Amino acid sequence: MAIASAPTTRTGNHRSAAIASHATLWILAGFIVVPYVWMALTAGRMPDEIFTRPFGLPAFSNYLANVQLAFGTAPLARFMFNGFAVTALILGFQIAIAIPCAYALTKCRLPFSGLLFGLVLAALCVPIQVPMLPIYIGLASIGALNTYFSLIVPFVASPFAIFLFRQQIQSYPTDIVRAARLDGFSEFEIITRLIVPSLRPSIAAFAVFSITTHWNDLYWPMISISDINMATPPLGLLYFRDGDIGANYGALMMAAIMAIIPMMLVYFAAQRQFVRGMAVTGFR
Amino acid sequence: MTMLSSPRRPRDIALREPRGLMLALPAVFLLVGIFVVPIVIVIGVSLTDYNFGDSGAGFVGLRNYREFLGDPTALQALWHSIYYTLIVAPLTLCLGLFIACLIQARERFRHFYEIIFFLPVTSTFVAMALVWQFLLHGRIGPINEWLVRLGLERIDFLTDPEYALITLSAIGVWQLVGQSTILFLAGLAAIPQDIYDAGALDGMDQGWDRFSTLTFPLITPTALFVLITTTITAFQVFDSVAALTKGGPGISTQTLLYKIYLEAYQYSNTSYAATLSVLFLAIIFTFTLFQLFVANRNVHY
Amino acid sequence: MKASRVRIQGISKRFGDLEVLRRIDLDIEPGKLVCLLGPSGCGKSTLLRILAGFEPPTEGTVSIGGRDVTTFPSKKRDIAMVFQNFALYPHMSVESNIAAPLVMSRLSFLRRQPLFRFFSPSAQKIRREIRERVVETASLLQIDKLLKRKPAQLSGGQKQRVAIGRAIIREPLLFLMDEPLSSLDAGLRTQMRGEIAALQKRLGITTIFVTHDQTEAMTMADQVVVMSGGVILQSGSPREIFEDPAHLSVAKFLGSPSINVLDGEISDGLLRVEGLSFRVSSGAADLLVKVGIRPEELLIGRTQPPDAPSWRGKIQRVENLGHEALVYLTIEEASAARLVARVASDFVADPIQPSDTIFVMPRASKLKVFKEDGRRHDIAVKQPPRSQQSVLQAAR
Repeated sequence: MAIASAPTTRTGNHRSAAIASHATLWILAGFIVVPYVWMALTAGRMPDEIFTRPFGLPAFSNYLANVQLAFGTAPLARFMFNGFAVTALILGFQIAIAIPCAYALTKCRLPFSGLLFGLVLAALCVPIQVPMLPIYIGLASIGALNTYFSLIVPFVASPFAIFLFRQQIQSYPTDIVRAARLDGFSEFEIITRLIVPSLRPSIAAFAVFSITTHWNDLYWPMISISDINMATPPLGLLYFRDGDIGANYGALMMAAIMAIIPMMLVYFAAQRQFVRGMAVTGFR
Repeated sequence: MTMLSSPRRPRDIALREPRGLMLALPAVFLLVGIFVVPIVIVIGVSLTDYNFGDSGAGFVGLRNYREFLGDPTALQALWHSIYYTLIVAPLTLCLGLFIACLIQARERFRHFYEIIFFLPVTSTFVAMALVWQFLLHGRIGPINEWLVRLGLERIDFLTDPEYALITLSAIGVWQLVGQSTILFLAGLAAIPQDIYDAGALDGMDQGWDRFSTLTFPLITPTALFVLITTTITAFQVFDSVAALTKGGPGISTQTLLYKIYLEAYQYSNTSYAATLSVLFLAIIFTFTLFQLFVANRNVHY
Repeated sequence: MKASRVRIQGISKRFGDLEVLRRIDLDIEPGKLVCLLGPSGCGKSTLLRILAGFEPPTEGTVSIGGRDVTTFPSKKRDIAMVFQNFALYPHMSVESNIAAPLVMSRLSFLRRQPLFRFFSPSAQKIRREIRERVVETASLLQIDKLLKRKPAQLSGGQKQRVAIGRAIIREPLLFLMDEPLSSLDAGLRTQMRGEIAALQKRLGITTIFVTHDQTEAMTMADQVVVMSGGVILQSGSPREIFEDPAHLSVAKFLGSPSINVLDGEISDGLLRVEGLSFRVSSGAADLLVKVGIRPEELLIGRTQPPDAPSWRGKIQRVENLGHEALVYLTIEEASAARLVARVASDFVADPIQPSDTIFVMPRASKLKVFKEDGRRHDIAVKQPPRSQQSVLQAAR
């Protein structure tokens, strides 16, 4: 907005205001960044250096050593694989279940559609930790704990996804759907060929939201998983810390970096969707 | 469309209804199975003496609820959640608005700031908790190192009952401030430039006048939304307790959700955990309803 | 009445490499209603924003009422503006919207803080005076019944009046309007056009009005400034710029349907256009030119006029508008140039078939000759003998 080139008193004021606010922002950003800097520094320390020289720049070879240590002594790769598998499965189910439902709610004449939408809204207001208690008991009684099935089951039906997609599909012209029906499209084709392409931005926003939520989730894995080989990254990190190697801060920080890198990549790849997702969701 | 559909209508609708139902059925089935039935069970179990592993259960009425009212550890846990929320939500709101206003006015580095402040929201919290644990460590943590160098006392941030909950709250603000900043930036961007231009002609051109007469009134819907959202998030705090303090020292950082976790999955006091869950559900349900029906509506344009 | 003179001198504006305005000079007489007219992207809105102080110019100066205000912030310029989307404060009532400029200028910083009014009788007194002024202004605009409403509860026309109320209440030196009618529907636009012009005359405040709508410019303005590509092409009364356009773009921009443009050539004291020759004022140098002729200056008939130059044409299409008709035709020359003629509708009462042959005679004195670069070529074209016109159906 303000063009800095014009030599006026007004821009003079602007300039000092700009400097002041940049300075404030840099200080605040500093607070945000401290743990990341410390993480990056510590991930390059050998165990004996942690206390002897905590502040200098670490040697590059140390990083490699710690990577080796992190992947070698704990099943870090396994944790990450579990994380990818679980987030992908959850997202797939959520979308595959939510979109047809959202479509049926808006573009088909359903009996009890009001009741169904009420159910979605009510589910939206439920903190998922509450139904987890009976789900846990049920899974335990059929011996299904410590499986991928147990990791994904509470999350496959996302009321939030239904709510979000319903809002989007509502603005999709019903006449196009009618025309498609007259042209002989099946309902399934209408969804896959007309609705899904129009939902792409919402799907992206929801995907980013879902992936970060479930990659970062600790509560449910802590409950349903006791086998270290089935742990997702957050739970795995706790095992890692509480295990023998936990005292080696360098390797621990390296493992932590490995756990956050995929989400950073998601964030950088889909920043706009992230922000959009944030703005439309707010729900967690 | 009416013209087209009149001869077709009977077929059009008759064919579509059962299919529409088929499309909605998986979701209905799962929503009932994951939300409705378990919640009915939770409420039911809270009225019994069932514990995980028991073969049967007896109806005990409201005994569990009475027990809760007489259980100082549970009341403390509830208070800790409220305390945490009362610190995190308002601070996140104010800081987020402050930061968003500063960023909004700047063209340069805007993107850079957005990335920095949003980092903690995306980062796996447990991973960052490990770093915080190290940073705040009473003996070997660098923050205490600096405190000593400045001639101050060491503080056992996470292991002193006086500081532990405050420390968790501060970390909570660190984690959530980016989210509120982003939401406020979106809210600020939605204010048309025309309104600011009109304000500039009418004399509200900068500083407090502009903020108090234009920006703040126009941003209140966003502020309400942010406040409720962060309240809901903060009230469900679990990760930082589980990763940093395990409720300790003593029970000084046990929050409601952590208490539920302990009773349900560590002590197998299932019926009591169900009772606490009902309470937890009631609180979050109310806030979310409020968000859905009040906060989402109240927008100026 | 505080009519003030506005003087714009050498204003340029660049955004990076993009030059939006190039050395604009404009002098506006006190109390006049001036329209900045031009297609979107011509720089007219930027010029308005520079006048308002929202953007600093890269070069040049602006003076209002004899004061150089180039470096003044907006609020010090004593200017009011009506925005395209009205820019009413959505959270304030109509009353507070209209009162806002007075509250800001007449109450000190402390006195306008919400709680302070309870402690200060003088602040209350000023607020009462402001309220009286608001009611006065509102009844002038016939919105006095709406004072308690919020902008979201108003129709487009009512919002427009509130925006005007907010602008006129403090009797500014200069009144700016940025496409104020474009967000109204057609009927209301015609009505507000008249009302704004009448109000402007009554208040006598110098007004600059930006529009891309030639009808608005022609009906409302005392002076029309036609802009294109960041420069002023022509400035003058509506009649001047229509009758005597200084540039081909101006000629094209005004009039509907648009002016017909044909390729022509001046040689040996004759202007040759698509096979016809006209005499031009002597001494004209040989030159390739563009010739413009408005649709209403073409006469058409079914028989060839004996000795006036006319084209033989084929009718492509006839649009009967009721009171008049537009005849689209191509002339039977190598170029097959397209023309449109505006004629009385009874001319097309007899069935004219597309592809009927017809004769088209341009009124020579109305031919507007432009140089290749678009600027007007200042020569007179001689009219053919008067007698010939009797055989032609007169256009309107």
